[in-house]
Amino acid sequence: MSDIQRAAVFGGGTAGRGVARVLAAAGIEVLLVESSREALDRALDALRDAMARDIGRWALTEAERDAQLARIEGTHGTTDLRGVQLVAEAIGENRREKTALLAELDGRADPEAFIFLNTSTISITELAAGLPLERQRRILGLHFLHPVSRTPLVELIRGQESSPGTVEAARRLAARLGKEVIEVAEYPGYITTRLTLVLINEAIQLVMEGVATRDAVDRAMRLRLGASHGPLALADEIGLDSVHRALESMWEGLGLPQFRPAPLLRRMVTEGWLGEKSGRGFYRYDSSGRRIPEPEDLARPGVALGSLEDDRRGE
Amino acid sequence: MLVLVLNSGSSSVKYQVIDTEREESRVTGQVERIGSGGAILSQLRHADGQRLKETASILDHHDAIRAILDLVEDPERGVLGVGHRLDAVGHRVVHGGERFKTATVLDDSVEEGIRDCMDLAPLHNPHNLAGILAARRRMPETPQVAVFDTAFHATLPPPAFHYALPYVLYHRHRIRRYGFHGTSHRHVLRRTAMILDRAPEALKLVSVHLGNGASACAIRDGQSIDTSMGFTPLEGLVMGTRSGDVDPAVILHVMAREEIPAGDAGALLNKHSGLLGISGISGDMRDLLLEEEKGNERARLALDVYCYRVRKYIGAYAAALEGLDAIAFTGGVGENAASIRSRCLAGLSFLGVDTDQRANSRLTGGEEGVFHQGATALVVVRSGEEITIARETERVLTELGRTSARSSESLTCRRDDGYS
Repeated sequence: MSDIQRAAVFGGGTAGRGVARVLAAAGIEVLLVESSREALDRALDALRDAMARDIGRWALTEAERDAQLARIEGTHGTTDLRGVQLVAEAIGENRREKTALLAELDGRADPEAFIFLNTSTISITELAAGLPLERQRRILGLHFLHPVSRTPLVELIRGQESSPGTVEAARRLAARLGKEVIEVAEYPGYITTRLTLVLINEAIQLVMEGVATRDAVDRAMRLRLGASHGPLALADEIGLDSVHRALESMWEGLGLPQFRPAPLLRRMVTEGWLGEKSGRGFYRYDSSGRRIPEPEDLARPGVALGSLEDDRRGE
Repeated sequence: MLVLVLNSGSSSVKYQVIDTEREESRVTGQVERIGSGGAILSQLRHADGQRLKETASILDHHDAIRAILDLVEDPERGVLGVGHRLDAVGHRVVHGGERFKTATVLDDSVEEGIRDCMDLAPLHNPHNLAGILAARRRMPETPQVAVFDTAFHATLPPPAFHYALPYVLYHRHRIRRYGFHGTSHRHVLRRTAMILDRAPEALKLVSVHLGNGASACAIRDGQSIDTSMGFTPLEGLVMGTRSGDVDPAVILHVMAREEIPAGDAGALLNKHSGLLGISGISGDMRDLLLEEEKGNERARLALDVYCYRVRKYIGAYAAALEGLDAIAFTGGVGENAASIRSRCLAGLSFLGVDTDQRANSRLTGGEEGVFHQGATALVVVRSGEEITIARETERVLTELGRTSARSSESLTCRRDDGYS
């Protein structure tokens, strides 16, 4: 079995762009496939923006950027997939859309091509179920974590029919990309999404209840976990709409109350506050996605507890 | 002996065919962009200056080695001549750890040993090994030798190779100074001795390799006793894009302040620092010399830091050597940038180091020679890593032939009996 030389990434969102970049960085020729010309242009712009940011923070050199961009070809609509050995799916976390894409890919991708699904909440087996068995054998879940280029981890999920050869191909690919593989059983959220979503959801709940300020929550958890981001900044980075969708999907899948999206999150998404990508989430961002500095507010508890105390004083 | 010298990187293989009797290279070439359908194979045949460049589908190191051999052995375009074949292959291997103290004939267990050193040189050893596997598979009958960048520094004494860190780290993770550019420094020693007409063992020499990477080496009794690169090729001198010496606390501080993860901190130190980092213009010496001439202050600062660091190491190594007979420069910068050489040596007359400026300015573009007025010889040596790899290959094969002539006879017998 030869190494993968040519791949197609479906979906030019945050995840798809990240996957396209790490594949290109490993020397793989990448087709980045979007649904329309406009969506593709947006994706390629965002890709270049992210690279410029990484150059600014010394994570990437200009020569490396040029080499990676040279290996990424953007296309839209019906794309010729001949010679593509790997299709990496990275469209939104939507069961219906993913199923439709898989049906389409089954008709167009080479029979030997692998299809790796980048989902964290939807069952691989269910998504693949309608396809011929030979195709199902070459499908598995490979969950890249955000930010893809800097997180040295992928979760690997076998579907019911995923063949050992397919698993081996995924492991070899991950090694080439410098990602450690953690294999997880097929169950909504796996490890990272399940725990991260609870953390984010509860953090939002905390702010909503006025237990602590946004800055206090993020700072405390950053220090507690030794992480570079607090849960709210992380939510902004992932995209609040994505967080919301993932929570709903988990709530649906597991029925556990901790996954019911916090009302504040719902409200922010409705208002179009989606985090980094919309310029406003828990924090504010400039047009290139850089956080606009604000003085940190670690003030004492806000509304909810304050009123409790008032009540108590009144007793 | 005709030796094919291979230097296998992640997406390229560089090669030369070297005639060790004449100490000359017959052909220099490389395969670039391995792994793509549009790989580029180019070579220059030295006898007649014939240049060749073609694109081919070269998907891995096996394809690359095959393409190189097809070309080198080709009756028309090749360099072996009718009836001749390659006598041996010499492979450049970056890291030999503590196990490989000298060039070593390749067999399965040596391959395994190189694999064991992978975590010490994750960017290089895997690709060096890929080239070895491919070449051994393609030429099972041709003896092949691994020549290690670290081997020349195997003689570093413990005070020079230990870091003042918890000793357990040395045991547990083999944390120590290894040094690199060893093949180059070995070559500099030999050439310097020839140019000065001295025995190599009689020289107290500081060898300064200034190229893309840069390192200095203190050599006494024909052996490396200290060198500026350490656990990785990041320590020591200022380089094109590498920082060289830096207070490790700076990294921890910057990682916290700028919220940089460990991987990106590595890129900051290796790819965004050095001449490029200080000047903000370029990591290329030629660009900086031009900019400095135009009055660019940051270019001047970058070059001042660069030269000052070299000077400091020369002073330190004069102390380590307990004296100084010669300083030799090599590498792209060391061979060509006369003004940088004299800046590195400025103010060292107390060590007998005085530059003959006219002689110095003449030594560029591959000219070898001396340029001193004082007691300490100052020398420019053309870099010759490939020639040294070929010579080392020949040396270990000749030694092996001497010690195991008998056993190889019996091997031949067994082959005749059983395998043919």
